[in-house]
Amino acid sequence: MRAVPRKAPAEPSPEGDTRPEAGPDRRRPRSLPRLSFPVLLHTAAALAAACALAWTLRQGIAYPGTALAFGLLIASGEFLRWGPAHREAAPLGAAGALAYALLGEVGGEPGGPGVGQVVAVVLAAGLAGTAPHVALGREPVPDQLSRRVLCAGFAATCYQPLHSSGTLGEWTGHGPYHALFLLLLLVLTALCDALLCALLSRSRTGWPLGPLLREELRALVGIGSAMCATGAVMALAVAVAGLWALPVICLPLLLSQFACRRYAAVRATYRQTITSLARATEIAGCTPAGHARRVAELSRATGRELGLSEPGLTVLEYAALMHDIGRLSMPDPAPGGEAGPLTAEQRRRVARLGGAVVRQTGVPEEVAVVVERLGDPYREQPLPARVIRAVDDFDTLACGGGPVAGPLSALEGLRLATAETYEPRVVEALARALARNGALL
Amino acid sequence: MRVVPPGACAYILCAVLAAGLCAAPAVRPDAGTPWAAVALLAFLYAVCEQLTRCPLMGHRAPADMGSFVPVLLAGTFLLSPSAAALVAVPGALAGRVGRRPAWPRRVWHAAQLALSAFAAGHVFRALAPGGGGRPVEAADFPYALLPAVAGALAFCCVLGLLECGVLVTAERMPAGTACAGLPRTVAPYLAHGLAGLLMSVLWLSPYGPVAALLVLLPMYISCWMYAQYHRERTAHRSTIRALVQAVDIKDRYTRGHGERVGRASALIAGELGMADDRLEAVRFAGLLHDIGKLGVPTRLLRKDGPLTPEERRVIELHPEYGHEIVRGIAFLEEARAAILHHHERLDGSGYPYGLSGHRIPEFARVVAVADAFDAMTSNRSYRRARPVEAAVTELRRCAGTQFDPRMVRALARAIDRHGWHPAVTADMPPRPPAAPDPGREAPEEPGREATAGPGRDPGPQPSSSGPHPSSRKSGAHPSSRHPGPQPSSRGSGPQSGWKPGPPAVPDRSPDLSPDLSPDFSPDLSPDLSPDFSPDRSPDLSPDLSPGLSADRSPDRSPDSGRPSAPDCGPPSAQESAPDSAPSPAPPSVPESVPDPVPESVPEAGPATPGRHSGPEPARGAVIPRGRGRRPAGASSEDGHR
Repeated sequence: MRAVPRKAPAEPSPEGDTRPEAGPDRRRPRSLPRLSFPVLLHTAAALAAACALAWTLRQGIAYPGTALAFGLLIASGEFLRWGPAHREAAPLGAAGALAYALLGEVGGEPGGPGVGQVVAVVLAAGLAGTAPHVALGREPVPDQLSRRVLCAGFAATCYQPLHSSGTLGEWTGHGPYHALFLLLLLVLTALCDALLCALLSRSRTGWPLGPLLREELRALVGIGSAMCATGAVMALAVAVAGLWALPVICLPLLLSQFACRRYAAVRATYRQTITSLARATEIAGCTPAGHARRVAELSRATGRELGLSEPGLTVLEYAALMHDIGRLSMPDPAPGGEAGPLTAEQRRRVARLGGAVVRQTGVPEEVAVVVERLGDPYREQPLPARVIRAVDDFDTLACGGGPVAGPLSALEGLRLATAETYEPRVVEALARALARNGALL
Repeated sequence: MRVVPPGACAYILCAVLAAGLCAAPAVRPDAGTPWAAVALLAFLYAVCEQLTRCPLMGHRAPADMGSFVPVLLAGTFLLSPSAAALVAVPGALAGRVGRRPAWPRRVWHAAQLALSAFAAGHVFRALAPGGGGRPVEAADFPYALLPAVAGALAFCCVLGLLECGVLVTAERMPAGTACAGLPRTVAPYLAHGLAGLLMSVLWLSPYGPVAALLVLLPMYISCWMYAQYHRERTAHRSTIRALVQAVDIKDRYTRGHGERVGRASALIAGELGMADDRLEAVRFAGLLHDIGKLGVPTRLLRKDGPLTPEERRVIELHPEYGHEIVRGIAFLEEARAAILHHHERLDGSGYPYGLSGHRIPEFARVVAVADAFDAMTSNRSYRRARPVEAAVTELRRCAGTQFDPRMVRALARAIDRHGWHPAVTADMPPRPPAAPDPGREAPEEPGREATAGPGRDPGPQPSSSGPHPSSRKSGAHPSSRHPGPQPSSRGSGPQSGWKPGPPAVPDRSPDLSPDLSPDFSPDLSPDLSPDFSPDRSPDLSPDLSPGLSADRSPDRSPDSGRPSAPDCGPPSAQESAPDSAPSPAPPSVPESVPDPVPESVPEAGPATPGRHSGPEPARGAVIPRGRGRRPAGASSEDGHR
């Protein structure tokens, strides 16, 4: 495990605070103060934290040793975070916070912190773990801290009163049901967290909530479930074996995090390579510069409008990046880089050639299928192929400098051809995506 | 391998007997084995093994996740060693086996795991706090870590040693190689050991096995992530190869060149003692060094005659194009410099920047040597490959002026040590299996088959493995499709046509050669050029004789100029086809291309370089005259020099 995240988050925080206006906010009159969801979230977290701090200062810290151990764990988890862009960047911190919220005993002795103390410790440890990152000049991640504080507060509110009053002992006893109850609570918390996450990114990006929520839930299955399980195990193991269990149980989660990080790194590299492969057509003079990238971005936006899931969007993006690969095997491109509108025959040939090349690249099979079907009439195509077809022609029309130039007239051109070439639903989604990006203004 | 060698049989039998002896005490009636726990753990383990088969949210869990060790280790910490040995058996017997024969593998796997668990259990007992008589409690926690770690280590060692044994007996692998990977497997087992300890503690706690089960989830997720990571990395590699193959589409004379240069570069880098990650980078640099040819018009890469200075300049842009293409790939940082500078010469007369001496990046110097070496030792349409020794001699001669002598020495040493087996690209996974081929070969029509000279293919690449699927259709030159004779003749030195010619006038050479065979190191051309001529002329001569291909194999013909027969034959057929009509369906070549996919063929089929038929009738028309296109260009260029 590395002590310091290797990848400095050089890229600006994704969909950061620069673009929230692009969303529904624009419709709101400017004179009112913006009460967007992130502001609400942060306010709620700050209020909860303030109350918790005040409470803890008045009551004093119960079981300071346990609080210190968990605080250290959460802080180091935060310190080991990798890049703010990722959904759950610090699973260890999250698991530690949840475990502390669900802690009832330490080594067989009572040791449960109150709700206020849980929130206070999580907040303090989160701040302490984030401080080195901020000192190193990286972006702070207020969203994650707020989410963490709220989630820990939620879990603690559900558990601590029940436990300290003894009600829980009556309900579940001290056996396996207790473990199951903890697990249930954690799942509930994780669902709430996913909802918060989806709402946050909806207000940041303006994308529809449904697919975003589905995306968050899907992410729960991976590192999210490891996180929940670790939280539960941590609480139980500390209850049984004392604080010594903490470092032992951290290890699997750290391994998961490490694997996850490498996976993300290789995925990023993979994407870069595919982009390069796509750029090869541009350098070879088969397509205008930037065409593949533009088509990929716009296809992704359109696919999102159509409600595609994340794997579907990845397939769409890869296929869009490589949709012109087949042109590489054309004998000689027209000088000037613009191959122009192709005949149906040529289109089919490029598609089939492209599919053959794509099959060699090791991307999922679906990508090759999509590329292969690009030349067919839309009724025979899978949905991603329809999207790429429309976006491809849109980009050619809009940037090609042909008779119709400019996005509006290009879109009009597509709408006119919805009878057989483009699917109306896709064209409308494209129009919405363009409007969202402000490209039509 | 379908048949288990007798040695391996005996070995497996011994292991099974030993495992049976280990487990025997547990099944004695008075042993007091907690059968419920054993059954539960065994069931858990079997489920974990089977889990690799079920899809998980759209991502199919990969097959190579390995055994799920924490359950077994928890068993060794919870049960007596003999009972722990039983835990693994059902799961291993029901598990998935990748290769045949399945049952010996399953039985072996069960015995191996049982023995390892038995050993780990004994180690744990020997060190455990209460002498192993009582379960681990909260009070002995810090100390309890020690026996757990030791048990996991013992498990790992026994497992690894047994594995080595079976590799040696069954696969005839040298013992050193078999055990080489052993130390690297230790770290995961330590993590597994700690997880197993935690599991056993929770198992015995009031929360019971349910809580213990939760420990497995993070472990499972992390294994799953690792497997995903490996899968993605493999996919990434094949994408890189797809980039390289995109070049092969355009310049079919150099098929496989990139992979071989990558291999040679890695050999050099290994000899220079580079670290693993740099070695990987240099391999990629070699692999991708000619990627910029994508930006060079195909017309120039395949041009028949001599190139004009402008055309030459365009071709010389390819390092810069390549640099541009891979610019977006972050991990190729250092390799990018090599791609940009691999045509620089040590004396500063190379391109694009004319760097000299040590201002040329180290990687670029490595790749330059590897590039030249492969250009010399592989078959080209216009000449036969040189033997490896001759190529090395040639490189040595040019060291200091063109190449870094250090790299040349490293390459020579590496070849002495490992040999040079261009047909085997062991470090690369085999090309994506035949899957793409059938689809892409299908649309080929016989006519184009006949014209497409398969022998243009430089031969000894892994790509053209075995008889080409389309050869059955063409029927024109079935034998010439096989790359078979070529690799074998590679090192045997039948290159009678080659003689270490006097260094030719090196003045303008660096500029000239790349256009002849752009991959071909320009630096060598002055020295090589005189040697080409003897090869080339015979290369052309047989073009007119139609029936060459039939008895191509004994191409060590008395005609000293014919060493390159396997290459030249098919092209000869190709070129002579419209003239003398020796092949079944030549006339239909250029026009009758009803299938809209004629062009897919070249990049698809490893051995279908001829792509003149389809959309370019003009080109097709040129074919008859264009025999020995490259060679013609080469000869004229060289001759003029």
